[in-house]
Amino acid sequence: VAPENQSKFYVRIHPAIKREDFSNLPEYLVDYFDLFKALLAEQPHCPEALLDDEFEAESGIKFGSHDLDSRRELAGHRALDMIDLREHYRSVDKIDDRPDVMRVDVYSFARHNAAYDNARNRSLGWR
Amino acid sequence: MLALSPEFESVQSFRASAQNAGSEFLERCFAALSDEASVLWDAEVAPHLDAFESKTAQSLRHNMEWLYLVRDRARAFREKHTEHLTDRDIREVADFADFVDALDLFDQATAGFPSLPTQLTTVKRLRKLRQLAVALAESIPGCLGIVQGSYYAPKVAELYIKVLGMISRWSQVKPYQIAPRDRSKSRVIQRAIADIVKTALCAVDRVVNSAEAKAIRRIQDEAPVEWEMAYQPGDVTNIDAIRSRLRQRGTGKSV
Repeated sequence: VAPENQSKFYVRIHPAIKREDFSNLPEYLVDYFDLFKALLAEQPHCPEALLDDEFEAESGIKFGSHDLDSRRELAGHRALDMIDLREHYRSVDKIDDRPDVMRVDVYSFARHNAAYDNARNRSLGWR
Repeated sequence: MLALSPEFESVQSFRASAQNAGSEFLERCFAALSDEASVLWDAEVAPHLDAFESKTAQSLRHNMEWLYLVRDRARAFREKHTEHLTDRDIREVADFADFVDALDLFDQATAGFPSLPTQLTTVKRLRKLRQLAVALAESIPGCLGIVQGSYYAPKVAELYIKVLGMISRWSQVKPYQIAPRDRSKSRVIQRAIADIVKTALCAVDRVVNSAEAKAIRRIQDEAPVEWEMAYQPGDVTNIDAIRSRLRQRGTGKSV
């Protein structure tokens, strides 16, 4: 078992996140992306558990995560939730935790609906 | 007289080339699979693929048998080894299976072509041609619908365009080739065939060139994604350092 503060997973970022998603996000949220990557590398199934209430209070952002509906097209994917005042943001990823793989693929990081649409396009090739 | 043999042979060779395209696809799909899956694929599907390749020059019916076999093997492989395949691989196997199903429907719709007897009178041949055109046109939504948006849609569409073109050419009989008492009847049938062919070509074009279909194909034609590797197991994540950096920067939100 890897010690704390070490990545337990491969974390891969879809190239379109930096190319397309970042330009539609507030600048301060783009800065948080490094944090999300680190959280996913350590604990992708419950990344928000690595953050304390104090950090949430300071940043003003509420963090969470959930599995996506198994009856919908993004079944098997997860979403990292960020609620900043009235705006909801999502980062959609897919975890492969087979021992010989251990990889998290991050497909999108955008406002709620756009994040799901982008993830669907990039993961499933829909348009 | 309606010339049958040379045209029909060209359709058969065209079908064979479409089927070859299918095996090229399987090669690509095979190359895209992970090493472990490749070994399995090698054992389970490749022998049948080799046999298929050696049969492509033979009759369409025989080729279809091999295509069914490869399709069923590919489907079984996908179901058994899903964990080794990427989403893209799985979709490509599904697209190939759809392509074989579409060829099957196309084959059924054109089954009447070899049985178009040359000894029929011109009007009777025209009537038979009209029946074939109707059967072909009716098969378009089902057949092209299966492959709509996939890599194979233009290939199946080309088969339709080719055969519809043949029907159109065969129906263009000069008045002097028809007995005087049949000329008005034949004109009516010729017009009906022209209408059916025109409508069918529009339907083919609509399916293949719809904006949605083009968009899906564009994605499929895109180069593989070049992922950016952010972390590997064992890398130091430095969550605390990132947090304190964010803290120092403040929220950055505009008030």
